[in-house]
Amino acid sequence: MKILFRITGLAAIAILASGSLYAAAVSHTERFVRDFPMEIGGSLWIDNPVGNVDVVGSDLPGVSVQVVKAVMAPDSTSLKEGREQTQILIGGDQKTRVVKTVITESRDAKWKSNVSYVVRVPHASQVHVTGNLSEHVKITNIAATVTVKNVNGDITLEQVNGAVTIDSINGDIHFITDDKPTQPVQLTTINGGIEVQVAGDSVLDWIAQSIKGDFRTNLHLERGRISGNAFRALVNSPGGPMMTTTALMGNIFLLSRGGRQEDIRSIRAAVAATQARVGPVGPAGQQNSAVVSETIQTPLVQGNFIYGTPYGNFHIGEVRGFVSLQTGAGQVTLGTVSGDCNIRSGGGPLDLGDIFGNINAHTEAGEVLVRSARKGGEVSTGGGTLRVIFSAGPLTLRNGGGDIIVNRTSGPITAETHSGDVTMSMDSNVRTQHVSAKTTKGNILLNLGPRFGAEVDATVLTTEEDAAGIHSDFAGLTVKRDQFNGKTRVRATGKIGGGGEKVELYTEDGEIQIEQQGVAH
Amino acid sequence: MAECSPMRESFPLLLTESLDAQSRELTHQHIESCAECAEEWQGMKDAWRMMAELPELEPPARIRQRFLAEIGVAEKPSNVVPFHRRPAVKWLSQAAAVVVLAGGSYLVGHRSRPVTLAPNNATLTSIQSAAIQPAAFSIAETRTVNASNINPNIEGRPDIQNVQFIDTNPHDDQIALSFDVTQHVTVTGEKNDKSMVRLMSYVMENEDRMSPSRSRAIDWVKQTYSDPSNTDPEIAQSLAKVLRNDTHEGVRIKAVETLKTMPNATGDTRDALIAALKNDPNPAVRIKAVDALARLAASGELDSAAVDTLRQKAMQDDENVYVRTKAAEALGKIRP
Repeated sequence: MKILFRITGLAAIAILASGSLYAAAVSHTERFVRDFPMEIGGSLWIDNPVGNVDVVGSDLPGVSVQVVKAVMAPDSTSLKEGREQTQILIGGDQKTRVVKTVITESRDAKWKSNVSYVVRVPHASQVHVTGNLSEHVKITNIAATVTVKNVNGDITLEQVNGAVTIDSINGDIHFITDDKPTQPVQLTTINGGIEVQVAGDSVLDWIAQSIKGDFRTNLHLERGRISGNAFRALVNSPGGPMMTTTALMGNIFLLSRGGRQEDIRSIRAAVAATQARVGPVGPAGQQNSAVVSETIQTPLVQGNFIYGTPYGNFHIGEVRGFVSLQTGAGQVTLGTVSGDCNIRSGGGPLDLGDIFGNINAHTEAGEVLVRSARKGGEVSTGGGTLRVIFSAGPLTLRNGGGDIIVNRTSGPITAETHSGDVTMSMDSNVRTQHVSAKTTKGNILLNLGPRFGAEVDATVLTTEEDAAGIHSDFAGLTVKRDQFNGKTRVRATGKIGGGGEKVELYTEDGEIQIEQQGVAH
Repeated sequence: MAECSPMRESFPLLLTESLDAQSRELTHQHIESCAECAEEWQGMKDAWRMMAELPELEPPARIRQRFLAEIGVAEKPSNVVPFHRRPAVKWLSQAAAVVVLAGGSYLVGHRSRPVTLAPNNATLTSIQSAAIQPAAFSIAETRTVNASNINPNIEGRPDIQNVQFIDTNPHDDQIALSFDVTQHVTVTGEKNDKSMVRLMSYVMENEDRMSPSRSRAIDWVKQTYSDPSNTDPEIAQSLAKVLRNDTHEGVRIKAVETLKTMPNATGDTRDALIAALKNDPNPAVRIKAVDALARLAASGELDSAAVDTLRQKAMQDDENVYVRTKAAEALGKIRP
């Protein structure tokens, strides 16, 4: 059975590129073999920053280390330097053998080197490999504990029956055994995928976690449950060891050795199939809250757009209906929306264009930009700059931390940020409107037309005794200072422009400026 | 028109915003419909603005006391702070600055080169006719100082207010920074002049000693110093300091956003980004920090400590999912 995985080509490309770069120059390859005695059950530690590692368990006693050291450089002087700066250290005793590559390469070094190891150990030995850049790390036929940690390059474990801990950043992980696992297995990769092949009658407690990827299996599962990005189930029956597989951005396959490929099923799709549809969906939309959508990009949706996904980026030009969108994380960019716009995002920036209906948008983290909120609405972020270019209806803005900027509004507005500046500009034709702004750390700047009338209540609470606190281009305010909870409180109240709706401004550790449009500052 | 006269009578009240809402609206409507009154109103507004720009002088205490004594009013301390129009505040503060510290500004006092006058005889070669403009009356002049003439080391921690950035020609290297210290000072110079860079750094770093807004200062720094030809490690260090220490989350977001655009990150910058990703409570700061680290990863400038931080962040279950995916994407860009 052959499963196509995302190719982790970075390591290969880098090595091949560096190879071709220096192909026209000079290179040197050194090969040698060292044999050492080692006890049954001893440990082998290999630390190799650049190059492949192959470890094979054997019934023969002792350790045999075969080394291939290659250095490439544009000239013989650099080559010599590269050879000297790439050292292989083999040490330890019969209980613990240590093989280490030491490369003291400076940033501007002209040479490149890589060292490959093929190591034979007694199959009951513990094996620990640390790497950085390689094409592969492969460990075969080991009956004891195995740990591997690397950055780039695939990791393959074949017929390894001890406890396993694998931790990769960009590499795929393959764990293949004909037997039933009896020890806990923990496989983790961030940008790679995971493929596990075990005996069809294996008994496992399977935990899988992925943000972007899917969980697929052809094994019998019991008590399966999905929660956010994680899936947990019993394979065949209870009582087996824990198999933890985490591929943050990739797919996870748990397969029966010798099983049929057509029996492989998607857990996320199975979960999605059980969820009810709740409304009409446009051609570009599908309602599937369990299936990850990498990116949905379409210029036009004729109708409503209803979508739910654990992860997905959305770039929609125009929606001729309403939008109801829920994403665990990702970027959301909408152009024009004819109807209401409801968005819930677990994190990621929102960029909303011309929204004709009400807006109700929230992201747990990230910037929010609303170009036009014709009917107003509620917009919030857990943290990030929140900016509204234009609003014509009642607008409520909340920010967990970051600035709030409203370039022009004609409707009533409420803005509140935990920490950040609030800058709001009222349309010059508006004579009066309710305004409320609050920040617990930052400045408030309110820009009003010359004919704006309001009843102002502005308060600054500050630790600075001599802070000016409040500035206004409008006459009619009375300022008072007093002490409040050990801080200086500056409060300006009164009517401007003959009075009107309430304008309530409150800041701590900041200043308030009420500017009149057209007055130079 | 018959109604012009009463309307014009209400102009002074409109100017001082003392009309009630209904009369105010009627007057505005009339101004919009009557060209003559509109002209009259505009003229009155101009005159009012000019008057506002004239310096307000406090009468000498002796005269003030005599006047109050003659009208039988004793001067009492008031706890009500008068609410002046801002230009008046500015001029008053400048006047006070000149009276109290006529000796010159803080920065001017630290000139590295003393000014000397050559003992040459003055000669008059020609007289050219020119339209002579009467000099505007000013009791507190703006001092303009070239950055190359001032010592780059800012001593003490001066309070600087009303900071403004001036870049009249974005195509040349000349910029200016004006501010009130003990008087209004404008420092001009090249973007990479050490004194100018120090001044910019000072403006950004001093959270409680600068107004009105450091967010604006950082925006300006982003515009000016993100260009690789203008980049300066001292500016990046100041931004890193702001990112580490500032309690204003909006400012920290701007600082990390600006750092992201700066080429050639130093170790200090990297450390600040890593610390922000690890510890900053604001998710937007963490998102931008991880973006900045992704850029460094792509250019091969990440060390193993940074990689470990990104790895931890990607795997941290209680972290925001978007931050985790961004950390994973950054790790995917690691170049050997």
